[in-house]
Amino acid sequence: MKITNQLKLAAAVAAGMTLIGCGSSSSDDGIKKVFNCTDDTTSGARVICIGEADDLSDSKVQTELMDALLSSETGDTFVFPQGRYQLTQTIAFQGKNGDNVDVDNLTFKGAGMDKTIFDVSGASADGFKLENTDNLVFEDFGVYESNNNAIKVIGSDGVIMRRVATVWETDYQATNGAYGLYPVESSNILIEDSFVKGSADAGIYVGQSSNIVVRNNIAEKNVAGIEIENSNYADVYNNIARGNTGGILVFDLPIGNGKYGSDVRVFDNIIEANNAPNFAAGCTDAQVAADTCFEGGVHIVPPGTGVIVLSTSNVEIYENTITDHKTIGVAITSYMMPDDRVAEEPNQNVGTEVFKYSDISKFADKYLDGWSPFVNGINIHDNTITVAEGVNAPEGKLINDLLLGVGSLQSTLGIISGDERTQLPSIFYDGVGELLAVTPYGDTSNSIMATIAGGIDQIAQALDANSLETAGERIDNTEIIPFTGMLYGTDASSVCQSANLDANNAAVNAAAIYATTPSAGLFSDSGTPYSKVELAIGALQQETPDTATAMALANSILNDDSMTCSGTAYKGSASTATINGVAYGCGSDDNGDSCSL
Amino acid sequence: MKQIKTLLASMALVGLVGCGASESTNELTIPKYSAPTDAACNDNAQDVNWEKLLEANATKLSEYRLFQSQCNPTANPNSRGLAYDLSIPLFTDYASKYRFVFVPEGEKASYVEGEVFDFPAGSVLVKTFSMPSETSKDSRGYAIENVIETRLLIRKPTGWVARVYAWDDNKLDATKITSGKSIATVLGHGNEILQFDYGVPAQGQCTECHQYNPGGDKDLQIFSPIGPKARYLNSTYAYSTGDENQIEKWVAESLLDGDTVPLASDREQANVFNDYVDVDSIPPSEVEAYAKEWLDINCAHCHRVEGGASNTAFKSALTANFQGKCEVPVSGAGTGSLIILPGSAESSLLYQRLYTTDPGMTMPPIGRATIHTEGTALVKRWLDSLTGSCN
Repeated sequence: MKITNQLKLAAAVAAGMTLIGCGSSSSDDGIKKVFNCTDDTTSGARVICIGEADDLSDSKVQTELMDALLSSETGDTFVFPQGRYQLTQTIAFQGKNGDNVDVDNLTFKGAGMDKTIFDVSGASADGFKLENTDNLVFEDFGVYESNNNAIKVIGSDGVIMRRVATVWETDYQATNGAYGLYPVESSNILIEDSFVKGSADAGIYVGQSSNIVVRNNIAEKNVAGIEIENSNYADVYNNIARGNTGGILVFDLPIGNGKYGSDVRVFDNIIEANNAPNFAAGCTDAQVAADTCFEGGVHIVPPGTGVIVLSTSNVEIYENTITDHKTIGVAITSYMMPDDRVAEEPNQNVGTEVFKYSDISKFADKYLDGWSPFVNGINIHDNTITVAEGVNAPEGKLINDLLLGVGSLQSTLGIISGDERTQLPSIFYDGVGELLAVTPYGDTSNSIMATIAGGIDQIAQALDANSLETAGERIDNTEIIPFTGMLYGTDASSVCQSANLDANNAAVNAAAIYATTPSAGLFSDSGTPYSKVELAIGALQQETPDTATAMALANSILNDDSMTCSGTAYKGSASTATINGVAYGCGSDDNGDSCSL
Repeated sequence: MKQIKTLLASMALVGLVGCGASESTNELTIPKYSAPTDAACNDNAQDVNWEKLLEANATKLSEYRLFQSQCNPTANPNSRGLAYDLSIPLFTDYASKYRFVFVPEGEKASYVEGEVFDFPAGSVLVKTFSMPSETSKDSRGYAIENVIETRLLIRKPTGWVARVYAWDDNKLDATKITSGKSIATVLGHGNEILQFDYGVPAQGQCTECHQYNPGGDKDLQIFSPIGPKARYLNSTYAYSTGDENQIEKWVAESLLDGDTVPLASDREQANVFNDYVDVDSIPPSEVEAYAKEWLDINCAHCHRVEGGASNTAFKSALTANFQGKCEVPVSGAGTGSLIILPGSAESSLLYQRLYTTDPGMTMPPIGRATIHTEGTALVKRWLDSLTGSCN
């Protein structure tokens, strides 16, 4: 894999910023205040200078910026002076100026992401928050110490975040803000050459959006470096994610907004040593004890994970360097891992217990809304993956119970001894979603999940027929759930890995923790699937312990052929962000090394 | 926000002074306020300056000639101004709120089902925020309060615009501001003393709450008032002429077009809930309705399909299905709480974000530096009463 020049440039800038950060104890140190701007009143392309040559006080800069937005016109560029400025208010704009006129095409431009810094710790919520404004450009400035999100954009078609820094200077602090760069419910998003550090959630977070290009950025010491959530058509390439809890996350959560993710490519990134403690707020002990904890947030991310794909389909992960993680290089899991109630039996008691879609089962209304808990169409290939030497101690709620079981099994069987660490595959796959999706239900030709989905549909139909619901929602049979037939029937819809090598060019271990091929004995009498750990322990607990079977299962937890595909695996295509008529992304403005891979 | 028990106030202050390296030994005392004398106030009793209002750019509030006394925006409106109240008010740090509606002569607003009334161009909604010394009922009133700001929502032919006027230090007039203001405030609340910075919003922040996307289409966003909906005006107001239903009064005063108003029995209506309604006195069967109404007025301008928080799984508009029970959060610094866990307010993100003043966690995100004890008690009672599980 090659690193392009762009990335080296961003790395150099980031290194410079770190130096400034270390040297500065008081806020104004290190950056001289400089005003270097000339107003331009050309209609449709106005330039509005923020601050004045003889007044670059914090209050002047803040007031002028807020007033400039109140009197903004479409096409305005706001030019920030150099220097570090303390803001006491969120810079908010909801798409209309003070005279109620719609405004789009705004550009916010500083003197450089290490030269113009807004310290927004004095604002009670977000640093910048823009809504309903199309074609926004943020360029060459930094937003530091936000109490909530640094830059949040909602409902915008066309967002460029270029050479922007969002920073929380104190490392690994749960009280650091949530997201750094945060476009949500938006489309045509380009985030490039930026630097995000210290978020207690995700440094770069793109949510509920589409047509996304995230490239040439550096994300470090966040809980999640880069996260693509409930979004589709995203290319994440040539970034560096290091020192986070988890490097790059592709999540699809059951949020009930009809916005679900797929078609994501993660390629040519350097994802290294994301071994930070998970410092997200997470659950209280009382919540954990009472089993009332929501298990889909970043607080479940196991420290030491390079890439996690959670319940997102059509994801291609290739040509990345994923090194020095203490837990897992790449984790691919269905939503069965955080919450196995995705497979619970639907409640059929319409009119007595079931009055609305959400009464049918824990996730029925989300299925009807278009969500799927599965991972299918996953292709992990041509990555370099290494495990951090000697520190592969597994942690993290997402897979904690399973990994504890793996460790205990390996000790029992003598695979590891004494204080040796649990061994895990570099590519970890839960497999249980696939097992449910391919195992026939009883004597029928439908799979277990197909039967569950069919049941939900029938009950939804009954709710509609009885006028208890009016939405007429049905599960999308073809795309969402394996309603009939087998979801994982072809390699293009399977979870595949190939040509992933370690530092010595040897194939890395890759395995599923549940068997992915139907066979007898994989389910309890009540229909609960057994993981390989449970099957192995079961074999050992027989009257005559079957050590050979247990050992075979233990070995298959470290390496199996569950992700070996003989045919053509899922192949993604380039995503493009088109902003003001200009297309960004591979094959559009970029035909560089990353795009040739 | 600092919450200091009265008995501990002086002790706590010793510690505070130490931290601040100040020589002062002043104790934290609840301030007393008094309004300017009548003699100090300019008489402004004449017709509203409608032309000036439509321009919406006056430097001084008095230029619009909204009130008979230049320094008292809480009584005696000029022209056809009429005071009104909401059956459940939106909480703003225990400030007293004085609301007035002005509709130009010969014009009328129209009743709208579920949403804010449709006001004709030239209308203005005037709301003054004024801080009492203490939150008790008999501590309120213009004469003994610190009048802070007057916000105008002006209906131009092209739509609503917002203007914020902060009262001058001498309290004789208010001056237009655009970038907000922070007012250090000490307020008695029961046996506690609350110390916080009251935030006068920047003009650009008004749209954070006053925004509405019809059909959820963000390209159609419009600026909108929040309060004057039928369900909040369908309540009794103590006019100088006696108690009367506000909707009836508006029709009688020709502010609202009676032809657009449905029969009384068909009008939507929210319960009356304010800081002086004992939460425990609400019958168990009605707690849910009260709580959802409180969540509607306080949250639903964003937490609805048409609002700024449409990306979250918490939706509290009374006009649509309530969403939040057992739902997962989409943001919030990696929190592990469901939005509503039935039976446990403490474990519900909804309550956690209402019962906090941590920056970044506080909801609503602007206009609240204190915890609304009474409103959160209502929400807590409801959440704690919910049965069922998320399993």
